[in-house]
Amino acid sequence: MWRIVGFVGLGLWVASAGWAEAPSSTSPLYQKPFLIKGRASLGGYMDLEFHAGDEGSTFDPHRFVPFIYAEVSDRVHVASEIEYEHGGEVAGDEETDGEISIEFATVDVKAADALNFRGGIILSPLGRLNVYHDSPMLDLTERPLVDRDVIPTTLSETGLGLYGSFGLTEMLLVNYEGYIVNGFKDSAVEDGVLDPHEGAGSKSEDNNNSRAFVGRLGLSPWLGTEVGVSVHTGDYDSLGAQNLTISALDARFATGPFEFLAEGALGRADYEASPGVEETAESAGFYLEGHFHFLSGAIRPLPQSVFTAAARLDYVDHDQNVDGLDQERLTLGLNFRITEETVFKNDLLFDRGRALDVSDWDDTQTAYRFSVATYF
Amino acid sequence: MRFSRLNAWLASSLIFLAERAVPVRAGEPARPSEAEIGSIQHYLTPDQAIHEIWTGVASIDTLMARLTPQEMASIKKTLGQAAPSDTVIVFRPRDAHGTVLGHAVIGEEIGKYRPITFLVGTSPDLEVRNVEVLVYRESRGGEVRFPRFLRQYRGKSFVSPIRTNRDIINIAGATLSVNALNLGVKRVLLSLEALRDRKVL
Repeated sequence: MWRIVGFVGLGLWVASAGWAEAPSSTSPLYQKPFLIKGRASLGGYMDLEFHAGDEGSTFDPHRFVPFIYAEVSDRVHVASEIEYEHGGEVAGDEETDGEISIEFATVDVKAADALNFRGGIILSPLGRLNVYHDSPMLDLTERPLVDRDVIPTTLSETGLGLYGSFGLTEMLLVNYEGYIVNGFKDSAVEDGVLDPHEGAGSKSEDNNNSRAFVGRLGLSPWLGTEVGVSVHTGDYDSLGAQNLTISALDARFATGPFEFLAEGALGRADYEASPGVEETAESAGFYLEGHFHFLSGAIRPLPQSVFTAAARLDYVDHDQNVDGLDQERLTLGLNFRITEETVFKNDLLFDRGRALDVSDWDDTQTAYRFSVATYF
Repeated sequence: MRFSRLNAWLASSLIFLAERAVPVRAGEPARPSEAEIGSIQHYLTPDQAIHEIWTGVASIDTLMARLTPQEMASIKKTLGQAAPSDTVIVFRPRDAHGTVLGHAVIGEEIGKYRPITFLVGTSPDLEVRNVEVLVYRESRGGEVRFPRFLRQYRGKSFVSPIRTNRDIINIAGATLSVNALNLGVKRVLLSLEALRDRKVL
């Protein structure tokens, strides 16, 4: 425990020390996050994480995500993100756990605010976090459990569809996204337990002749408040006979220095437990998260800086048909943003879980996360 | 004079206004050109934005001023970022009696991918009357140009924080666009205040 307290102190010191002098360069590259050349923009975001807990400690270059955006014409835009995770793949004899992939690559054709076409590798609008997941944007290092185990963020799929937003009144805004995509594959259910992370489908080939649908409808009655409902449904097995549906509900409320987020999701998949015996695998989870922003601009050489205290409660049940196999987590965070684009995060995680058919919770595990994330 | 891309854009806006804005009869809607009708990216011309903000505009004159190095340094200290240009072009709408109704300045800041071009209209006392987005170029985050967001800037002055999570409510998923507008509006207000301090306005 004292070692973790030490890590927290070190993280806070790193986050707040050494900012007496602003960078001397006044080059536009340092004023603007992105390079623009002609009709294309190049930019991105990256992060570095430090993990410490009972399992040991390590640095992890979790994400380096350059993006390219091009304004082909007034009505046609192309956007893409290429994700290098954990250092990417390294050539040579040593195997690595890195990954290089296209996170999304879409062509958007704008007809009107309320009606636009999007096609390509799409960020599936399942819950809020799957779409708005950039690490410099988030206030805690680890993503919510429900967005790892029920909604397999970051979920991107190949397909096409429509999106748009429109106001019913000056204050009431509706936004929607709906796409036909390849969908999940057979490995989404293993041993009767839903695991959509393993079951994320191929971007280049559907495993059956049945497309899936993913969509989200958001309603914002006034600025700072939004409620969204989303669903991903379709056949996931090679025969196109078994359905997998993940539905989610999300909400956001912001006022002054306070912000509250909530998201819940339920996954259900049919599967053949034995020849002729159909059963349903179910998983569910939610999170509640609150932020308080304070000491905005209090550090004089950094007028755009702000501190944020964050807390999140996570719960996920991996199999709703059995006792146990669930997990709880409390995360407490203290962040320092030099500007809104660059954040240092310090998080304490308190985890506990229950094994299959066990009613008592395990002992609480404590862990620490430090990370720095920035757009560039 | 160092003409950046922004200045070039501002200069073309100035020519655009000079060609068609004087005199403009009160209440007469400005007609968008065919090119503007064909493009959904250019939401308002500067002329249209000024008529959205003020009623009874009979004419618009312009003032081109330069900030001193000291004023530039002061703005940089407040914002934490250097201004892209020391040139400020101020549009001054007048009513039929020649009375100045306020001041308008066009600004440009980068959102997530591309620049957002906007116009800040202030009262003669340099309090924001309204902000209008003239050009928004990105696929996401376009909610920043909706009235329900822009109305938050009304009444702000150069002493207002104009910061997300303080006096401006953020739009989830459009954080960088919101920050860009915050920065741009504050920069315009600080520039106008510097010019007023120097009795240029």
